[in-house]
Amino acid sequence: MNLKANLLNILKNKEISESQFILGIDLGDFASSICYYDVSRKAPEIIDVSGGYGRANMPTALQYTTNSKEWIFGENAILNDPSGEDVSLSNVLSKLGSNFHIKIGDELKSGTYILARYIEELVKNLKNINPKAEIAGIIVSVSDYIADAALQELSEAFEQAGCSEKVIDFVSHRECALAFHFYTRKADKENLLLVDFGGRELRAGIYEINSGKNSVPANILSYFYDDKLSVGAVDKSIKDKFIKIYNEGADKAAQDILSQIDIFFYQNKDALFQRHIPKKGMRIYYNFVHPPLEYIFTKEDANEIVTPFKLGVKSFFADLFKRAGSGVEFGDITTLLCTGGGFEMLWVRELMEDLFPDSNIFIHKNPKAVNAHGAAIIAAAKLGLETGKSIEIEDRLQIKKDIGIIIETYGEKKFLPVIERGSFWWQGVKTLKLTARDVKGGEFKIKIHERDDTGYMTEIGSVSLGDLPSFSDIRQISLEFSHVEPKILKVRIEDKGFGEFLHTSGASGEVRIKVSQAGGAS
Amino acid sequence: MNWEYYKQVIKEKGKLPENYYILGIDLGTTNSVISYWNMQSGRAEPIDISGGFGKIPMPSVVQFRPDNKEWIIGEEAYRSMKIYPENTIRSIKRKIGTDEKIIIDGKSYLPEDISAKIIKELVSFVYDLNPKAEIAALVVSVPYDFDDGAKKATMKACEIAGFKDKLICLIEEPKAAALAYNYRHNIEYGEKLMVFDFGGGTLDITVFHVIEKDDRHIKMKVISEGGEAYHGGDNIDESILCKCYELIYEKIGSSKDNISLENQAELILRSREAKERLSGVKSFRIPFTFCIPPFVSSLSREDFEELIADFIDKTTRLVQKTLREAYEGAIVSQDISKVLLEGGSSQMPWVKEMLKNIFNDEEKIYTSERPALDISLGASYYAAMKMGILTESEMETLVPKVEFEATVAHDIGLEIISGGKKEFFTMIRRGTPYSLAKKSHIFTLSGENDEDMTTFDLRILERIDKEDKHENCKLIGDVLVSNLPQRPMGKTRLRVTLLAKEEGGLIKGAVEDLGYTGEFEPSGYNEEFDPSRFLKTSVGGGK
Repeated sequence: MNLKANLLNILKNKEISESQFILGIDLGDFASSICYYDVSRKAPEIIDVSGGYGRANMPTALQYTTNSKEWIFGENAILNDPSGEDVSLSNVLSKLGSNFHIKIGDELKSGTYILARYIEELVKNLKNINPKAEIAGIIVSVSDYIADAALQELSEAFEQAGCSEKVIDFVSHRECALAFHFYTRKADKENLLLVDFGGRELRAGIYEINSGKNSVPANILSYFYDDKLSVGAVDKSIKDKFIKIYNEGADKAAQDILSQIDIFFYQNKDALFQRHIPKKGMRIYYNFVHPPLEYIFTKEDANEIVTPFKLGVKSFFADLFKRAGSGVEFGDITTLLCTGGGFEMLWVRELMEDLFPDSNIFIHKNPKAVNAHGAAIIAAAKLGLETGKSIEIEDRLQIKKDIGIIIETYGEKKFLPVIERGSFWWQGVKTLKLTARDVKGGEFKIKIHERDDTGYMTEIGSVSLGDLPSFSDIRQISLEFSHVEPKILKVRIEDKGFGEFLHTSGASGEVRIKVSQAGGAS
Repeated sequence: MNWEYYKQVIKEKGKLPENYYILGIDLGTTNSVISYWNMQSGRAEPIDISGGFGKIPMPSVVQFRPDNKEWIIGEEAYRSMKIYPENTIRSIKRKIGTDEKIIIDGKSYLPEDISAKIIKELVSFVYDLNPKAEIAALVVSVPYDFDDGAKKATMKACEIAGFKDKLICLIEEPKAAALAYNYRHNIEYGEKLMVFDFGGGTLDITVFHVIEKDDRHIKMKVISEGGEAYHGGDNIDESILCKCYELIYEKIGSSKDNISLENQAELILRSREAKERLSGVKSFRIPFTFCIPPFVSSLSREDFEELIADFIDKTTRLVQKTLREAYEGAIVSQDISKVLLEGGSSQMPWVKEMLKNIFNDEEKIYTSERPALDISLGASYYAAMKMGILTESEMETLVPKVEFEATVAHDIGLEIISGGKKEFFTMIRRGTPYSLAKKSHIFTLSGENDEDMTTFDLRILERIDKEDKHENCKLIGDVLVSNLPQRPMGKTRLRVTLLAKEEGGLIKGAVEDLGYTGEFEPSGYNEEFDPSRFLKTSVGGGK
């Protein structure tokens, strides 16, 4: 049954059979979650892929074992020590959009093919709830500001997994998180900070929420991310510490720790970082070495790992608020909404309490699954089952069109982008050096253009050098592009002369141009 | 304060006070789970007892560390059993109900003492959830065919853990599973559900028939029960362990006796790991790091299933037997509409494959999304029902209330001497609904001397398998009946009553003197008894 037929059927009957499932999927860098919308309880529910024995989310990891020619997934892929030509993949998501390929057995397989196998496995868990399960519709939660190429490949992966007809839409993480948060809450005027501490990056956005009855109007004031503060970076530090402990304590004769340390890390990280370490420390057991090594992991050991990250996170938030403008300070945040696996770590939760003592802090008991929960709610709403509030994000932070100039080379005119779409207004100064030849004296003017994704160009303004002396040779002209605020682009032009032979005239000019594209709902 | 007090408070307040906790405990052979009734979400929820290890269930492993006289329970005990092998106890549930002594640090412990430590540890996690928590009530699950002794020992464990007054009752595991299922899915009138609960120690197979259903309630009757008390994941671990010892002998010539306790513990861990991992991968490499020279051996899923072929055959036969020996006549596989898989061992791929072959329909097999948690969740639902929470009107509209017409799992009877030979005399037949499980029989007392007419031993027995002979029956309790009126031989008629209590299936009874028609009036002697497992119970003032 295709989506349209499903949709019509549901709208007509206003009910859904026990075997039809409305899904929200969040494919994360480290862990993925799948939720369904429980129609009778009118609430999203995670599909526990561990059978209740482990983590409800499935690690985004795959392994191809050459001996049995099978793909294994999730925890099994992490715990299975690969051998020979087995291929382990734990970062497929990060490769989306790069046309990634890898040799599997004798064949070259694409990233989309591999991701499709993972999606199939994730969706298969639905059969554990009901062997007759059918998918009514899926909302896929994707990274905020996902690149077009990555989204295209993700869409292909769902198609290869046989789900494309079921995918209603791809919706940003932030929209999903807000949909989940406001599902049972009314939107009132407030400043909300949404923090996503994920595998690849720490991301945060400050949102000005306005009152809405059936909608959540949200104006984004600031958005920032840092990959040096990711859960992946923290994990690497923990692994390094585990290796150091091993090196100092074990009889390491001919023992290959690297093949086991990922498994050991997976089994021990949560125990050490999800709760307070008691004064006497916590024992960890290197059972994979012989004789087994027992180590008492202390608070000091933990601090050694997390202190640099704590400092980094503090500075990250300071930068975020600096960019927010409008005088929003730490104390102005009414609600702090926390998502992502990083919030499973106690020090992160405590740090948030320290930084935002007056805010209402919301950390879901399964922070990795927040986006999937929200996606399931949005899916139910799109299928007409749930009158959930629509999330309307006014985003002025991301540049949605290329900004550049038109240059002429060997008689051919072409557009030269200086600020590329997808970048953020605060991402520094872009400088361009041009070589001008045979210019008549007087005003030297350069037109500034925007180019949309179809290639259509619009002139948005110009910048000029007022009193440039005439010259018959070449000289360098420098152009600096930077945003002073989301809507305003500053362009500075300067005569640079030409080396020692042609000194600069000192001519310069500056203009502020209102850019049309920095705005609109995401 | 006991659970009835808390029930009264809840009734008076009209809701569950914030700090009151109504708990359900699945005290498993391999893993244990605790859950609570969450008033806010209106449903039972598991408590993460992993200590951050990521797994909700807690390994049912208890360890004593002599260096600092410390008891360690759960995941840490499991992980460190290689370091403290001689003081680590696992699978204690398999011994519960026996008087087998466990010697730790020179002290002797009964299985219920060890189970009590697990219960205490589980409940301690409630205080992590809410430091002001007050435990209001508790329901603990037991396998359907736990004998009376094992049930009593489980209750004793709760008492030792300090929850005697809080324990409402025991609940049979399949009943708990069906309850948990009911709160997630629709149960249809007339359908027959099989709960296949395959844990670390036990296989419980129970068939429920939905005999009544309306908007408000569902009534299910147990129409068949099967399985085996010592048939679970531990048996499989044992098979892999034996295979490991064989491999070591083949490779380096060492037998088990030559392997240190630490390394034996390592093999136990590896065997369990191999079993679990082979559910997700087709081949698993078992490292033998302690051997000289060290080696690695691959175990494929095919080899594994061949290794346990007899076990698989037996499991198949147990399912077929449950269908064949239904209380009201054999049922065929087509009669079963859903098979609900519960318990960790049910995750092994061969289980689903075996059931697919028997039922010939893959879509009947419900794997359950959280088989590890369902029993505990069901126990919490039951506790909430017993505490009056789920009878509130808003709850009734959420999901229909479930009633069970559960039946007695085994024949319950007395040891009698007939023609000079000891025999089992059935009082309560297996399959009898608990509502009818109160049976009396009139016996005429005979003996060899006068004392035999005033004092005698009443031996109450449980016949687990209906083909079992008298000598294979399990003793529920010895009751010394004394101070009966002195009468001539054959002139005393006694009414002996046995009753099985629905909540936990515990056996109680009474002896009443009926006199002798026309000659002797009834003396008024009417004594009730509650037999103990190990000690002789006395009634009538005798010692």
